[in-house]
Amino acid sequence: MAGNYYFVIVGHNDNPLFEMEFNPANKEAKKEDHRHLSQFIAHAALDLVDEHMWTTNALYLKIVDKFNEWFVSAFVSASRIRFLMLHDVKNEDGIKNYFMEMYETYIKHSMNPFYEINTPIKSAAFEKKALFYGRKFLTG
Amino acid sequence: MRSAVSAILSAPAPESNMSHPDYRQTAHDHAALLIMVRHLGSKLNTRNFSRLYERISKQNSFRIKDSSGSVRTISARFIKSYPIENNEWGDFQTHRRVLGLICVGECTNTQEVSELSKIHESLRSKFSGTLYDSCCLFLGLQHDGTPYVTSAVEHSPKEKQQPVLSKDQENSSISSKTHSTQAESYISPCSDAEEPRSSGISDHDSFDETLTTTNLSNITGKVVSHPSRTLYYPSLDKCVTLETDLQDFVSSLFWVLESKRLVSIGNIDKEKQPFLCAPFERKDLIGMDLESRTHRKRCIGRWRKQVGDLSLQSGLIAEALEHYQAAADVLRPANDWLWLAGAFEGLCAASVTLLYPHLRRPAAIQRNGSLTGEGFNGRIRSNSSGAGVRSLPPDIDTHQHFLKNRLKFKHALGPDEVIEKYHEAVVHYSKYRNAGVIETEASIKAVHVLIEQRKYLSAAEFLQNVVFINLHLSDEEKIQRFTALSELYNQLGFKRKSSFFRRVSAMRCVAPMTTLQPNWTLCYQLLFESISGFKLSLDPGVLSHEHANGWPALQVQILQELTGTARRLGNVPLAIRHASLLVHLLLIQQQQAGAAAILSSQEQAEMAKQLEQLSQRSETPLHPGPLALENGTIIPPVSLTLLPKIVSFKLQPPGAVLAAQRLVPEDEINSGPFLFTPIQFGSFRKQPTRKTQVEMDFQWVEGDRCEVIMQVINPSAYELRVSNMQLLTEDVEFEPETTSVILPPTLDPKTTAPTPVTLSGIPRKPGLLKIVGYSMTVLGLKNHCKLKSAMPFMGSSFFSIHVVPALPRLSVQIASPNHNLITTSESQSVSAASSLQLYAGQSTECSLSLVNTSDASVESFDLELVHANRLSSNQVFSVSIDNLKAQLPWQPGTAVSVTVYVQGASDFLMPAMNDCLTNVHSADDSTSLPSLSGPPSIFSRLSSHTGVTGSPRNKAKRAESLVSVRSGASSVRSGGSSNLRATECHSNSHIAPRTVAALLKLQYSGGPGYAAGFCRSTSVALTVEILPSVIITKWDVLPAETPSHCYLVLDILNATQYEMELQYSSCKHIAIEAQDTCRIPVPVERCPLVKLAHVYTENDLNPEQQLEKIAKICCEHISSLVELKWSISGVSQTSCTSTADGTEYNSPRPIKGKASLSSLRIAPSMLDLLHIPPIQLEIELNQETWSAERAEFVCSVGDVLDVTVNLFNALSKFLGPLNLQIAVYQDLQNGTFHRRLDTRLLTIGSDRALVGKMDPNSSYKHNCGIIFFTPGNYKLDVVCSLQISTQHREAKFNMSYDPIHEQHIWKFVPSVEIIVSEP
Amino acid sequence: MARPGARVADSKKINSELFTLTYGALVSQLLKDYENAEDVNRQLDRMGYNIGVRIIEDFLARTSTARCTDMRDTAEKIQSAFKMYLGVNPTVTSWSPASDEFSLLFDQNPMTEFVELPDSCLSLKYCNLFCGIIRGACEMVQLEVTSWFVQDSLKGDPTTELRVKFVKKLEDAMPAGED
Repeated sequence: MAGNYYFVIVGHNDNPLFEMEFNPANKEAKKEDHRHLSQFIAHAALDLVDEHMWTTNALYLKIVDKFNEWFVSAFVSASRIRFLMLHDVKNEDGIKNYFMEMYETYIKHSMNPFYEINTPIKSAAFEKKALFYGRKFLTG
Repeated sequence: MRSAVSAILSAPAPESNMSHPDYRQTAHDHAALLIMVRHLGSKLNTRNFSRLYERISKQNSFRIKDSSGSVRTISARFIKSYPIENNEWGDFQTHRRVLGLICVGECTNTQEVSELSKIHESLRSKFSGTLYDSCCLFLGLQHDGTPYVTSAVEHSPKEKQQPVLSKDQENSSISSKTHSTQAESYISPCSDAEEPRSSGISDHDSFDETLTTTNLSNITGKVVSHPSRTLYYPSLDKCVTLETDLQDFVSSLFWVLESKRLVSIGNIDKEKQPFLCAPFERKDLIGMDLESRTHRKRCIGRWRKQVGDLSLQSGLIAEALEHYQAAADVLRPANDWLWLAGAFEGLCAASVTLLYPHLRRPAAIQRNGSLTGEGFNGRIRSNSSGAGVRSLPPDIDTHQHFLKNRLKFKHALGPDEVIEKYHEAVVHYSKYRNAGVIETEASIKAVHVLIEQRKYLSAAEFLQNVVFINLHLSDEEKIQRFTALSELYNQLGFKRKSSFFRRVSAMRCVAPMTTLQPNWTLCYQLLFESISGFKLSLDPGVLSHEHANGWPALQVQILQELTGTARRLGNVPLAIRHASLLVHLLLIQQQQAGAAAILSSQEQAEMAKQLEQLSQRSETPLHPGPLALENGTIIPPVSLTLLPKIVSFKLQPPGAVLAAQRLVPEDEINSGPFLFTPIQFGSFRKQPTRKTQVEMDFQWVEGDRCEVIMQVINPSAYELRVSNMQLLTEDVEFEPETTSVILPPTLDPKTTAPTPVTLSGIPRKPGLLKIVGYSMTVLGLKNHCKLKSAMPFMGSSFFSIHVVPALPRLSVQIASPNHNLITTSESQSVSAASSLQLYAGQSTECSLSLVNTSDASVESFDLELVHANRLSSNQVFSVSIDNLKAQLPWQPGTAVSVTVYVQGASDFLMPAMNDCLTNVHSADDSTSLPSLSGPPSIFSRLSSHTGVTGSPRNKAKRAESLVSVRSGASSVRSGGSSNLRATECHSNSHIAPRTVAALLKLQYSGGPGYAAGFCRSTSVALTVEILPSVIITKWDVLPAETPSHCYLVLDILNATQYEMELQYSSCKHIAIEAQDTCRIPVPVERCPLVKLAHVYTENDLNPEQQLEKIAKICCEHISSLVELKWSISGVSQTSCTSTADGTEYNSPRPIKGKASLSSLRIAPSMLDLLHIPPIQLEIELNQETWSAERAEFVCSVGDVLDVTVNLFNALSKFLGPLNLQIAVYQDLQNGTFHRRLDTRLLTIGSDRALVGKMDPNSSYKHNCGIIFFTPGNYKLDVVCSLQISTQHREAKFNMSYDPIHEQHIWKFVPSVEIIVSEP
Repeated sequence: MARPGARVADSKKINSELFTLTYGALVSQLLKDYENAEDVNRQLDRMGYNIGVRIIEDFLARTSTARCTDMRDTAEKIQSAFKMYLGVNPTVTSWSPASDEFSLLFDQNPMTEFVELPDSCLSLKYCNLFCGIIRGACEMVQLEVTSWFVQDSLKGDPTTELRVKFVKKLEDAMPAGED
């Protein structure tokens, strides 16, 4: 059931802070065009995320939007940092767990005195973690 | 993108009867009569048509009295075109039927009329299936111009009845599904419906007489020729009755509808209703059990539903609700999902019309500016009715509505129920592939309602569903569909979604795979509308520099697409605009906090190259102003202010030589012409942290080249060619000069150093110049970089500087005799400098030549000699500019010259001595202290201090020198001792050349600048090295043979390297070897008493001052008399730089010079010799007056020599006490005197006398006698000494002074020689 | 800074995150203000010094220890101080032959939790405060020492090593003022 995933953390100004794609091992990486598509879909989904946010207390908003084969699951941190996941397969628990772990990781990283909120995350450690959890919960 | 889009758009159903979703449909349209308005022929231009159309569609609700007399509100929906397929669905939802057709055309004659009528006919037949009535509406035919005129007003109702009937018969006959029975069945209502309508007509007759008659008559007239009615109007403005005619038309429709409704109602209970079905259901009919109970139910249910539709259209909402409900109840058990959904939708539609009466048209249609009549009119509606309502939250307001309605309409649904039902309906529709369009429209209607209820999320869900409905659509329709979705999302306030779909449809427009031609214009339009959703603005000023706003990658993508589209459109300027914004955006993102690069550096370079190519392609010169598109949108200008990035921006003061200065000191020009503070100064002060000086503390000069130095950095990773950079200025005419610079690519932003660029220009007018930025061309684009955008960190948006009115400019050259010109660059404060070499006493002159190089005339000129610290230099230089000033003003180009006289001034004394004196007199820093073993003149003074007058040594010295003088051997080294002393003093003092420097300060002005109180100043440095020539090592004063004269004895050293010819008096010459000293006696007239008299007469002088004065006077006396003219010949080439003029460079002429004795210091002891004493002595020997001419006086031993001395006070002041002394002695001719002569002579009477005081001009006589015992040569001296008055002594008691010093000694010179012989 | 540390010793709870963040904020703000890592290091050292000269009193009072006889003794004290104030237990190792110089190895360090040095300031000595503290504290007990970081796990080193070197004994009881 290995599907494709595109994970992005979006800041307060709709600016992406961190992006990562997970593709099944057998498939080769998507082409640039496709990357753009994911970004466009994610960006469009923000509207729904912002609406859904107010309907629930839960941080995890499940699937908020669909486009073609893509589902968009979302997770909104307490400080309204939005985690989005594009996926073409249903994998609710995996995505939920992934969000949770990444949330933890993000909190840790935001504690780094040298990191400025709402700026892109350029930390090798962070990336490693994202990749690790990705394998664990998504493509794995 | 495309891959994805195609997924939705994959053609679903093979065949579908209905593939034209109407995204504008609303719930209210269920209740409206569909009337098509068509534009016929080419005469009528579209503008007029649309005007007419608007006017028609404004009228979309009509109040018509029905048979029961109650007023019904009938709404109509006007459309310009309608796909016939949709008409097919008329059974399923009656509001989809086109009931009316209005053809609008313009014609001038009858056969045009008939032509258009033909077209009209064809249209009619096309929709004949559903048309109840149609009419033609012709403009351009005057009512009087028309052939058929009957004035049968009162018949009109009757006659007008006919066409309605006849038409109706046609309709009924044509329409497949109407029954033969209906014909008679509806007559009754019609006939009794007559009253209201006739009345209605009559009242609008009264409203307008003529026109109606014609119209009506037309109508009646047409009946024969045309089955449908025709209306003539003279012109668009003259169709006053249009509304009423419309009313008629609609009411006619209404009556047909009404009749149908009644028929249908009648049929409900009847056994066999026709089985209504949706187009795609027909084929299923075959082999269907028509007798089954479910089928029966379906028939009934569907019939009920249609009745509901009809009632809703004919304005009977209550009935409609009832029927729908009933239908639903029947259909549900029959599992007739499609029609059940239809019933639900009807239910919803009815309820919505009750709940939201103002929700006539979707807001989108108002917003997206497609001003169809509905949209326009709908807005008016919602405003008028909704104005009060909107204020309170809609749910409350609708709730009240709802409660009100509940009573009247028991089946009406509440707001939430409506949504529920819609949802259910959609779900059921979705079960039928071919009902896609119905489903879509239903969803959209639901969305409108939800928007009204502000339930955006569920609205979004409906839309979401719409996206996934598979429809078989043409490409245009797909584009429409996405656009419509985008609209709806926009209404939801989902900007991002809206933009997303806009972009999707934009991409669709130009997708290569599509059948239609790529439509770049539309594509651009859509893309353009989409940018707002990406937080992207085309105005670079809006873009945030600090933090990312929006999704950089997407913004870049969109901009790239925009650029590409614009290029495909062939709108190069537009493409350039977008491309440059893209480049700018990339630079901005690059500097945002922790930004990750969207594009690799070479990609960016690629962008830049593209932009450059574009800008080269554009044939029209690109203006950096805003850019207007055809559709009126304005694209704001983009300046690449970050390319390059400005680090600093400094105005440069002009060079000191060119700098303008105030003629008057600063503090006095408070009312000066340029006292001015720019307004922005306040705002500048607001942030004192930003230390940027906005106003300069120096001025620029009109007409002079001024500079700004700018430090720039190339932020990009590609080479940057910035060409024709020039300053942008305001307020003052400025003539900028263009410069260019090439900046190498930046590899590491941290390490790159900024590159300085100099922007220069010439202000052409005086005033306060504002520098607001600079313009340049980079990547082939002209940019205006305003400081406020390019340097946000700088407090103000401009620099301001005073420009002083034009001032003349002088080029200064100094030509020293040896013609070594040094004219240094103007940047320095000293414009020229000259240095030369002179021997002491020599004099020369340099010429300072001034040329007015400017085109203003010099009106004022001033020259000032500023001396270096050496005071002496003012004796060295002298200049006069009076004649220069006389020549003012100097016109442009005129050259003038000033002569500067240079005098090798020096006191020709031993340096050591000189130093010591300067030590005492002028506070000059000298290192060498006077050595007591120094010059003898000092010594002599010391000696005269010590010891009584005529102390042996003193006398000895004088005698000896006297001898040497006497002997006349002036050149001979007489008195080895003195010579020795001379040499030693020469050896111990090194005679160094001394340098004197002075500055010639020139201050000049003219032209407007002069008027404004400004001037320029430049200066010339002069340095002279003064070489020692003659040096007086020693000097003394000796009595001469006559009392009127005395000898000034000088030891003169030739300090030059050459033999020197010295002329020390009119007739006396002497040659001195280089570095040799010799003694010369210079006969000098004693200083006459007249010069001194006043000194003596002044009482309030203490002796020292008195001496001082006398010394001074004597000194002047001497220097006036004595002049040492020296000349050197055979000067070697090297030092010939100091020759009077360099023209005879190779044949050095002798150097001449004068040595003045002005600086001699006269010791008091010398003074008495130097000047004629105030007391004049006269000696009588044996009653005969002794005169200096006589050589000797002879007397014999034993005789009494009678000596009488007469003193005469020549002053006008009493003198005294005087001490007169007569002394006789023998000169042994060996330098010693023998004074103890008691054995040789005897003095009768006193040989000395004390005179208390002598009155002015009085005389005193003293007498005594001398008897000589032995023969021999004797000498007789008469000395008169003046004591200093006592009160002075008290005054200067505490001062260390020597009383003996304080006396004048006047001798009778020469001494009298007496030869005593044997008797 | 010293006070929260002390409270840890009081075994009263103070949220270590707060503590860490406070220090982090301090350092990053310094970095913003001085824009140059070297200056920041200097500032941190000075602050540390000020802490040290105060905290030593408190430390001695709590532990009621006698004067140190030699460096090894001192090393122990410093070690225990870290334990007491920061709850970390650095290991004392790599003594110089003259035993006037030793290293403190920190396997974990509450100060640097969450911290990731940006590439821009790799010369920053994030924990330079420690050096200052040790210097200040020792100075108050008439020991002049220098201390510096040999390794820093923030910079990818396997561990964090703080080197302390004895310079001389201060004869006069008065400490030299701040530098």
